[in-house]
Amino acid sequence: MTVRALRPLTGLRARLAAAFLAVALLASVLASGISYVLYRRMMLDRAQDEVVADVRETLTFQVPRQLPPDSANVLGDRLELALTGQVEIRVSEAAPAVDVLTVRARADEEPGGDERRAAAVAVRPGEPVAVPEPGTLHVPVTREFAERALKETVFRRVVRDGTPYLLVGAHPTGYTTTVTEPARTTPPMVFVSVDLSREADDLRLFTRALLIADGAAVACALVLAFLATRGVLRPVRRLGAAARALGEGDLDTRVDVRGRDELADLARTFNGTAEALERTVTELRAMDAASRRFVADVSHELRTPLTSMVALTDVLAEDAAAAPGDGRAARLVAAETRRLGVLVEHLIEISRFDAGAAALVLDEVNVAEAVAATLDARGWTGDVAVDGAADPSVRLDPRRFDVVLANLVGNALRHGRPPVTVRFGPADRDGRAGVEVAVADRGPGLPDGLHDAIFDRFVKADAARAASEGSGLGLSIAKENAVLHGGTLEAADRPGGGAVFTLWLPAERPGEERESA
Amino acid sequence: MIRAAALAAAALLIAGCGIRPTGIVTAGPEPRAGGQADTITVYLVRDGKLAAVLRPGLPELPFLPITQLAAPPTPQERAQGLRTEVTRALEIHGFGAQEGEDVSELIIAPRPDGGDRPVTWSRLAEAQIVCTAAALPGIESVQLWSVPQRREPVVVHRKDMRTLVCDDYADLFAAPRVSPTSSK
Repeated sequence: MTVRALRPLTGLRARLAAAFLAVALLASVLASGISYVLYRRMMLDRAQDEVVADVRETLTFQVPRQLPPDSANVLGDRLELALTGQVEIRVSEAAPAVDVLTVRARADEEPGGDERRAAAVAVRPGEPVAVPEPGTLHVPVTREFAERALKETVFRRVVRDGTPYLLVGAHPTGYTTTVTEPARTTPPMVFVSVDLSREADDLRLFTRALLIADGAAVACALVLAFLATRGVLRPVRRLGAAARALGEGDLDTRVDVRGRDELADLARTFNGTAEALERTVTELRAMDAASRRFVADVSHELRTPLTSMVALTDVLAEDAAAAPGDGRAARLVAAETRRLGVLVEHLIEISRFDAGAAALVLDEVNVAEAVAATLDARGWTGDVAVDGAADPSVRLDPRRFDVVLANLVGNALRHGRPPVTVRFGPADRDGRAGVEVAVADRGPGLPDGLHDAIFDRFVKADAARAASEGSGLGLSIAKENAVLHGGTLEAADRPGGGAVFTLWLPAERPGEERESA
Repeated sequence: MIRAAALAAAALLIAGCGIRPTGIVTAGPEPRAGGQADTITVYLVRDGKLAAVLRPGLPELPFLPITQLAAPPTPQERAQGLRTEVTRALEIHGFGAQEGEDVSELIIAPRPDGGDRPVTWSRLAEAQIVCTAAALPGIESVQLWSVPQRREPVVVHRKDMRTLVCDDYADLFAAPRVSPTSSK
């Protein structure tokens, strides 16, 4: 859960959701954009066609081929009324029983109806084209528009103060005039402006509907993305958990193979891999165990004859020393045989550690006494300076403590130079109480390049010394013993020359009851 | 990159919304004048006598002949020696005998031009107006006013408000009169 929470934006779920969202957005925006454009064009075309047709029809029906003189104004008024829908265009020949003024009065009384305004402008051939006075129409008419309108039916859309308007201009053709006074019998041209705010409102409504639809599409896409990611993520999560379990050493972990998709293939591959891994690891473990057992067996088998050999060679050496002549060979054989014995003992010890058979035999031990006993037993009391307060006793395995300390002091005496000091005292590490024993010398210090490997098996400072001294397992055993106690053993160079080995053992071990008070 | 593209798309979307202004767009050729209108009969003056003249009419403007009296004659008419005595633009008000019926009574008054002075019509002008009006179909009575009519209630003297008939001016006809029905 925490792992998922840590990557909310780069996770599969977010990416899938984003992809779904992008596709849905693209599709819906494209669809709504196209329908918007089509709807707008259709609506505007309809409105424009209607007005243009109305203008053309009105001009065709209201303007005769020949005009009575000076009737352009009357005709213009008539056309304006007809174009603003205040007078019906009658195609019939029957004359209406109303006069112009009556019609106009009725138009004036009618409220609203400002959607359409019309203006008729007299045309005087040979003179510059005139435009309607400002304010007559919703929008001013440019001279260019009027000039175009004189030659053909034209329209344009104009937006003024945020309101769209349609402007249509036309002038009839096919009339006859007199040659000398054409202006008196030329029909006027008309301009009509139409308020398109109703169309704009419709368009806004349509836009809102489209936006709502797009929002719904996006919401659906999100839900679908959620469902799809759940389907994909569940097996992925299961695989992840299985891989973690495998990594933690649970080698018999397998996942269920469901379905036939790529994730099922992956699960199958995972199972195969886990199986192969388990087989290999089992084989390796078996081989490892066999080789360890072999070493242990060999060591055991060697121990008995070696014990006899040590005794015998000692006797031989004593005899040789008593006899005249050179007893060196016999002494050498005795020493090497002893060393072989020590090596075998160490091998047996380390194979116990490897087999996990090493166990602590705990006892209440006074550290000062234990140190003194160890030095005393080896006859080193005079060579080593001991420094430490007489402490309350600590629970530890006295034999193993003795082994570790003997090894450290022996190493210091053998490889370092005096003065060799043993300093001990209580020390807390990581909030745990414990006892620290530091063995220091003034020798050459830790050999170069072996700081990290100093506790490894058969690591020796000088290859040339290999044959003569030590088994090469002493420090390894010391370290294993410290670890078995739950403590640590560290080696470091001493400032001013020499090496210092620091053993720290906890006073109490977690998970272990104090068996005896 | 993606952000810029999205921004451009959004800007395009917003700019493309609503009703956009256009340039001047052609919506077809000029409409052809094709209005159906009867010719009208107008009484003009030639050598001090009334003369009936035919002029083209306009659709659905039955009283056009009366307003046409104030228009100066066309070049062809002038060439025939025709002129008009009516120099003031006219205004026509029609009344039916009853609501919804056709107009049978006309009041003809000078168009207001700012002054309140009564207009003195010459006898020829009176004859032109009355005979032209009487020639219209369905007209039974013609009143000629000397003062412009106003919207608010006005006091009009009896002498300024005369009901006239064309027969009063029979002496002004040079040729046999054109009957109203023949004006079609």
